[in-house]
Amino acid sequence: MMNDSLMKTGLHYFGTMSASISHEIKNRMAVINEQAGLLKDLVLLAEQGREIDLDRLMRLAESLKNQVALTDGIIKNMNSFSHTVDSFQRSTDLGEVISLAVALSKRTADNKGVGIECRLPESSISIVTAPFLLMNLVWLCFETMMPFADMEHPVIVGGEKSETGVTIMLSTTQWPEGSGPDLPETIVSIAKALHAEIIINADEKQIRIELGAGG
Amino acid sequence: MKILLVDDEVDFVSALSERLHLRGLDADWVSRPEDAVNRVERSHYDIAILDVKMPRVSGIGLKVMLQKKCPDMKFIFLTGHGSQESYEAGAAEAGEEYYLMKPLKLETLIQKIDEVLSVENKGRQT
Repeated sequence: MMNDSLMKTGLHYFGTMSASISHEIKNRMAVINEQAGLLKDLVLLAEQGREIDLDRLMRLAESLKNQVALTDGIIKNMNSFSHTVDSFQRSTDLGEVISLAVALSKRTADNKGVGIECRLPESSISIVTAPFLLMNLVWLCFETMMPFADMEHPVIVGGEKSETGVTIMLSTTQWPEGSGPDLPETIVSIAKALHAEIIINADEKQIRIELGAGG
Repeated sequence: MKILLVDDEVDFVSALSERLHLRGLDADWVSRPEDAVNRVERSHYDIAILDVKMPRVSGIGLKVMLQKKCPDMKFIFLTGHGSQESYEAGAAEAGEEYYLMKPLKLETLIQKIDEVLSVENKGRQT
């Protein structure tokens, strides 16, 4: 169960990501709207006797299909995100959690001129955890690192098996001088709820989320 | 009349530019704010149509940069913001300029372009 503080943090995360997703869908719809409008314009001109460029029509049709596929991907991510709150704790794949957290963070990162990439584990790593809380934790760690990253120096989010469970690493090459960024209280609270340990590794320029075998 | 379209979504801004061209309007486009500044240094544009949310520089920030190069330039802002609340916040931030929601109705955009430029012409006459 989540306490009030975690609920508040979680709701804020859910709202931020939902707004970002809706914005992304609106953008895809805007592209589809302009390209469909252009197709219509070209057909109307052809009806008036202007020669029609079939290659141009084909490129537009292909681009429209691509936009629909992109929108489908966004909606699938939205659906997966919505289902992370179905049960508090469950068995899930570490790579899936990381890739979903990164995909949802990308637009906000882009708007702030910050890159985010994921380096997924080579093989599937199953963990029992609260996926929503874990994604919220990854997001907050990313937010903490954002001031020290940009498009040329992105934050890399990776995951691996450890001796006691699994580790999620967030790293950037532009680490602040000294021991690293200060961790906000929200990170500490979520880590505690997940029985996770947050380690700042200044040598590796990383924030490490250490999760036990049971999540 | 020369129009500059700025939006980081290339497929959107290129299609919009082509549709405006088909209606007899002279509309160039760029997808990066820094390219918009370069264009305005080299050519005169009467009006810029800017996406509000772009990486690194917002549409509002770009307006300030372009106005330094071309103080007479007029602006229309485009946004994908979903809610009425965020629309109103963005419109307030954009100030007296026009603020339109995506997906666009092309006729609405052309009407706004006419309105913006007719306001400018009236200002010159008085």
